[in-house]
Amino acid sequence: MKFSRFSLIFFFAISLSLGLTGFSLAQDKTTLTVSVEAWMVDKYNMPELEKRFEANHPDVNVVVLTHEGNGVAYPGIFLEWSQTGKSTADLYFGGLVSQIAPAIIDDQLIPLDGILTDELAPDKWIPGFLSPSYVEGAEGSHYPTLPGLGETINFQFNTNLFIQAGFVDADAKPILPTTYEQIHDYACALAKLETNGQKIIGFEGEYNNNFAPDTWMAAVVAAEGTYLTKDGKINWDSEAGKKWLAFQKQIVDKGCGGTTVFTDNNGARNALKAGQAAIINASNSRSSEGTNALCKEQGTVPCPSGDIIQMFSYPGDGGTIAFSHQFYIPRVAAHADLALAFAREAILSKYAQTWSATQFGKMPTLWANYDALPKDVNVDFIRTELEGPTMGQWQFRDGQFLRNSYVEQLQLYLTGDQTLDETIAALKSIQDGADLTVPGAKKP
Amino acid sequence: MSETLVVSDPENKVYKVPTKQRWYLEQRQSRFALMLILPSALMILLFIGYPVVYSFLLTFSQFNAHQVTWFSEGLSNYQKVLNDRAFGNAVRFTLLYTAVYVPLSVAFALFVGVLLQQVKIGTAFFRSLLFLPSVIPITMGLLMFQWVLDPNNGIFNHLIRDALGRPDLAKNWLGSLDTVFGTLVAITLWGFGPWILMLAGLLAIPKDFYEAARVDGATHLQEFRFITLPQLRNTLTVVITLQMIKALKIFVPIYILTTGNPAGKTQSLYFLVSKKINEGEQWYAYASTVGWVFTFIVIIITLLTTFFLRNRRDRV
Repeated sequence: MKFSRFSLIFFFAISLSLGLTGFSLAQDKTTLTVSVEAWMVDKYNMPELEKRFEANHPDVNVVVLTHEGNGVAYPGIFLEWSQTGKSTADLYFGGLVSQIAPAIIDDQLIPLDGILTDELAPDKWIPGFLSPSYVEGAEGSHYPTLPGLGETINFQFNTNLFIQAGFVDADAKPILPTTYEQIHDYACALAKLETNGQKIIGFEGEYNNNFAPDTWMAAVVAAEGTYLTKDGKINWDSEAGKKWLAFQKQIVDKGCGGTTVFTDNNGARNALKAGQAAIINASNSRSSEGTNALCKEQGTVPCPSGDIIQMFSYPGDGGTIAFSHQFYIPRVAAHADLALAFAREAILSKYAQTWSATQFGKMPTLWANYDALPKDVNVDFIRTELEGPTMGQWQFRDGQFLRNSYVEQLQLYLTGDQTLDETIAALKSIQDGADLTVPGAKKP
Repeated sequence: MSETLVVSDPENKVYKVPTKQRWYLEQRQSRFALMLILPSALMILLFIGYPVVYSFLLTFSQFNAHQVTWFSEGLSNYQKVLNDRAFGNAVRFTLLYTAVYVPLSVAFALFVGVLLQQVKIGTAFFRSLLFLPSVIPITMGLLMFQWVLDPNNGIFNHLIRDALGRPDLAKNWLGSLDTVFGTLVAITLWGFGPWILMLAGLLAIPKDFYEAARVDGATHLQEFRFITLPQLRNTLTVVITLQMIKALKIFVPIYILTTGNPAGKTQSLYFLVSKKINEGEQWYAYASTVGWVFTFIVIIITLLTTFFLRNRRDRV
């Protein structure tokens, strides 16, 4: 078959114009790039948030990227902003205030104060979650980040095992320990139980860099109201802190608790979910995870058969640690306005705030959304904790270094390599050599 | 200077080329060769040379997100690193791991190689089977071991407790100071080391040697001692050097299995560099210094090993 020269030229011209039309149509859409910590994609239902936002903004194409969690990715992300003047993503979601403090100190984030109006006015937020985002900046620029969803640090326990051990009242309600001595006694009694011929772990602590420093902070806040000294340093000499360390050591030494978390960040939650740990000490969402995993009607989430895992607070009246997964927009973002719209319409939407809470126990940061949550003992417990005094995590430039150092010193103590006094002395010495600059010292 | 240039074309024709023309041709060839090399050379300079020089200069400097203050630190970063207990622990762990892992992995590889050399039936099956660990992504393999060794739910402790009836022997293999080192070494030996290289070396040994030895009445042990080992010397040199570098650079198993713990006792030098980088840009200069001290250690060990192995080979 022969084609005339004209038909060939015509064919190419048509193809080219169709291609260019398609290209220009694609170009008409603005791409909003959102980067979240990898584990958050499912737990915060990012695909659904993406879909809903695109439906409301037909001219926007949302691309969700992931970055590593646990503070690992952040130095590289901040460096990209400062060294290239560009940002891979327009909006970042994930990262605790303690992990993103360097970006706040270096004034790399756009103030988000503009959206704190009407239903997002500061008084509509839970103070425990909002206040750690506050920076003493210039007027109108106090919030370089805002909390997406949050958690508190407390103890979670398996009610079935409490019943088995007889730690219940006449109405079969769990009798909760209120002192470290009691928690210790409970743990050692529970450690004598067996499930499927296997010994129960009485108490599994957070001994690794996921939560270990936060559990120390929570213990000190509960007893003394703050973990900071008057000059803003970490109060390693705190009596409550020493008591907390000694309590953990006693549990480990007596074999009433596990030590899986020494090397496996997920050791405690996995043991709780498997019904093998009686008490753990971590963030509140572990109670939802544990309940859902142990629920008799497997596959139905949230678990309809009750709160198998419940919670109790640290000894003391000082409150606890509240922390949240922050969202923030780098100053060098290409589409800052769209990023702000996504934060307001997607991340802070009632759907996002309540969906994750019911599925995974990540709590809403706005009071209004609590009314949409199921009424159960765990939601009530967290609400009560959040209504009381809370404190955020430390926010030093060397915050991550201090977190890692705490884990190392804690484990050296728990494994018997050093005494409590040596541990405290080492932590103080490490703090003396650390950069303790905090956000707000350099005003935006 | 010869006036004949031999061109090895398919017909092996010999062309006589005048000296000047030949010089011109050689120049053209050199230029052409340089042009071919240039893209790769530029890439190497850009992506390897530049970061290497940059990170070395960083060891004498101070780094933050907005600026580098070059040469402001002198040798203080080195001083800081050498006085750091974490660095001392990392050096100790890395060297001890290398000292234990290298001989074991080489011995395993040699053992498996010799066995496969002897096997006459199902050769492909056994080779494929033993090759499986190399095909499985390392992270998957390590996560599998994490599950197997889980102190509460792992099958290993389950077997010890229930099948052997010895609950006292069930341990927190990766979380206890007593067992973590041995467990790490054992896990990283999974795959039996570089047995493929060993097998290749073994198959290259002429069979006549063994036949002649058998005629002379040599035992299997004597064959191994006086034929196999001497003939494998070059392969062994390569394998030992490669395994040594691999062991010194251990990172992924630690990252996945122990996070450098318990009590920071399984932090390798590579892991320490990564950990410091993750602590913020203010630690980049420190991390570079650890990296360079580590590089010096690797170079010294590799040179010593090569020198030692070559000396032994020359003596033989």
